[in-house]
Amino acid sequence: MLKTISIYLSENPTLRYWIVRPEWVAVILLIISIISSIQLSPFFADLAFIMDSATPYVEYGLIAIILTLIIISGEIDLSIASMIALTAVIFGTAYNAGLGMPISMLIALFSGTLCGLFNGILVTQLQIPSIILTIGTLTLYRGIAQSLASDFSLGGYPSWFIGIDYRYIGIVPIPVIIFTVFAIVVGFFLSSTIYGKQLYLIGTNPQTAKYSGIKVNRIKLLLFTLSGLVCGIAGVLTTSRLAVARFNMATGAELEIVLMVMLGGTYIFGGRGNIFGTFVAFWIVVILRAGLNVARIKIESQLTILGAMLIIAIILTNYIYSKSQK
Amino acid sequence: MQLKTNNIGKTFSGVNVLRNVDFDLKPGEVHALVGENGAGKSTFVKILSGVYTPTEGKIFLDEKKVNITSPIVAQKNGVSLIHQEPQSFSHLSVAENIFMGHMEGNNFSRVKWQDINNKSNEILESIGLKIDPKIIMEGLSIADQQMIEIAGALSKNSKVLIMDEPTSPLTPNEVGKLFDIVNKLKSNGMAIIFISHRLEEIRQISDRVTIFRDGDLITTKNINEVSNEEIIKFMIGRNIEEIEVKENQFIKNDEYILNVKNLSLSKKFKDISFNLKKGEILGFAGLVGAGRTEVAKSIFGAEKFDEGEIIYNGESIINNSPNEAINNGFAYVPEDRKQMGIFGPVAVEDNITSAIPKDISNHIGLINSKTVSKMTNDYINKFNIILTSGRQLIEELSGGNQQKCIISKWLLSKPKVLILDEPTRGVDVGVKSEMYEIINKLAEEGTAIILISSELPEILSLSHRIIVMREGKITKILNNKEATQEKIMSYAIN
Repeated sequence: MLKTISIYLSENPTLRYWIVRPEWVAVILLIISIISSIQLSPFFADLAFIMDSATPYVEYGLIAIILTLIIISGEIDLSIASMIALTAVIFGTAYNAGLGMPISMLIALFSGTLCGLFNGILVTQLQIPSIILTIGTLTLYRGIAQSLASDFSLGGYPSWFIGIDYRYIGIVPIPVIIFTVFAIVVGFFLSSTIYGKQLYLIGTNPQTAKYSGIKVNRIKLLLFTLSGLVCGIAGVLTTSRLAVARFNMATGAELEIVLMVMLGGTYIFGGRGNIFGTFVAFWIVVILRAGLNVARIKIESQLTILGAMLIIAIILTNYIYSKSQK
Repeated sequence: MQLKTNNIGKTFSGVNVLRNVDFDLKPGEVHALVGENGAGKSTFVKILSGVYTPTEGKIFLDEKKVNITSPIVAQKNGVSLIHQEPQSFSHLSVAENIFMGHMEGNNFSRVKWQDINNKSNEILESIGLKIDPKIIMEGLSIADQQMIEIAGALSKNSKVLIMDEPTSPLTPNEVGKLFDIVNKLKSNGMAIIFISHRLEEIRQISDRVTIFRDGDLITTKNINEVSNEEIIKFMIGRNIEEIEVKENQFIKNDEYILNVKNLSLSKKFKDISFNLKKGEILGFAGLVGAGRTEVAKSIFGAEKFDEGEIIYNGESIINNSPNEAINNGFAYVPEDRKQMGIFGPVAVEDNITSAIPKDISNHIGLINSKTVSKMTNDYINKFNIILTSGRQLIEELSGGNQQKCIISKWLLSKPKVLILDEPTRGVDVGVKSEMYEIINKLAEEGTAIILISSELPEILSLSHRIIVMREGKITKILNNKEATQEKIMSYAIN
């Protein structure tokens, strides 16, 4: 039975293209988590509750979208959480130095961009594997944030700035709107433009990409820089949500963000994956986290469950890719 | 006889790469093996040294039948292989390298360092090498590392030493030193198999020579009884009438499109100068490692070059990257299809259109998938590519069909200069002749073609002119009328 299906699929590449896709794993996991959450508490049938639960994760979600592009192109950026903290701390420091809100924000975004550019230059020019290099800058950026802010919480922002997670359009919190629009735009870019196509080619075989005239290094540099910029945006959003900036914000968040990307079916060795998967995986994490909170499972134990899910996702993704590769 | 083989054969996934090899080796003899790339000599020595097991046939050592199932078994039976590039543990000491795999320990398994260092010293002295066995391998020259590999073989009491192109990484001075050692070993009764492409060296060092061709042992001769010309003839030996030599047809367009002057890249190639006309097929012949691929990559901008000039359409240009080269009208079909030619788990249509992003997208980068399918289908029909649809993954196609896809990809970029690096490697005979038709047709349409190939009949039948390279230099430029396999080989070898 399975064999006939797989033969049938290999003879119909277009059909296979639509069916043998790891993001279906994410969709199934999402449905399972919704159903089991509703069993836990009727709140989960309420869209507004789910939306509200999503706001704390939007910053991670935004970065997960960019990280999806980076992983598809065969690299990884683990310094993302540190860049959130560093840009937030720079933002707080600038504002407290009296630079005013618009300029402080610009400085935060600019410093994030610079951090990303630095990652990109080292990865592409020195040919250092990004997994090693960004573990280095993970420590470096967090360290700079700590020396800037020590153990102080940088606060004192105007009230219009604080609490972006409590602003709504209809029942939808503004951060969720930002995330959704961003996902749609990047998803469209990745699936329909030549630049998106080239990311897949680079991730599949960087050598062939180079020999095909694709500007591999320039594109990777751009991706890392973009990652820094989005981390800057996330840093400002987080500060708005928490009303303070601290050096230890988003500690360990890089793993949760990688989890979103991988849960969404993006292949860790590059060349495959998409934004839809990451988008679905974002909601899995949101519902799971909220559900575990409702079920009064301690934060410490929640990590165990997320870790187990990640491993399942990796195994299934790899299995599906090995099948589609025949 | 120290070593004797009877009817040795080897088959890889149905392909017979070695047939009925009857070979013998006397103690105190240096026995040279020669043959073109792929003639079977490497496969043969890999069987003797236990890397491969033979599909059929028997091996006798000291008149006793042995089953050599692994390199360790080979070494226990006294057969050692010296690699072309020394295989050393660069962070360990010389003594450790010599005794790697058979260090003796005391009752607590602690290595007897004193013992090992002393023995290493003895062995090194016996071959006249003044190296402290305690120093770290790293930093020693290739030649010294090679000697230490020989010392390792001696430490195992080897009786048969197989040297696979030992001289190719060495300077002439070092070669002399190596030959002194070889002569010393020989006078001690060691039986030595010596592989080389340099006939002069073979003449200098060996007693007998065995010639391989297309998986067969052709003949074994005493070195004094055979001339270089005869050896080359045995190596090529094909029925020359079979090859249809291209008519040196008049190339209408007499302008040079490409003029390469004194191109050099240190340790890769030196003083490469040639020119290329529109519609001309320029063959590059030579052995593997002669530097042909490196020259092609430098012209295509995938590698840099140190010196020299490339004049294209009358202007001096430098392709800093393949991207620039493609925009200038160059295309390169690489030798290593899997690593550099295809995007394996990607649809055929995305592979075929991967070098022409601007032609398949609009000004904001949106892909026009209709254009993509149309371009793909055009070439699927034109070249008769066998697949289920353009969405099929390219890695699922046969090698020949993959190659047709790669050629399609480059033709879509409308190149003025097309570089083909081993375009028919791993391609079956039917596709091969289709490929030849395509290449000839392209040239007739005015594309200038550089054809790198290790298959002499291919070079002879396709090229208007043939450049022969050896060790990074051009040794001869032949017109197709005067070119023969013998001539090409003689310039490729010495």
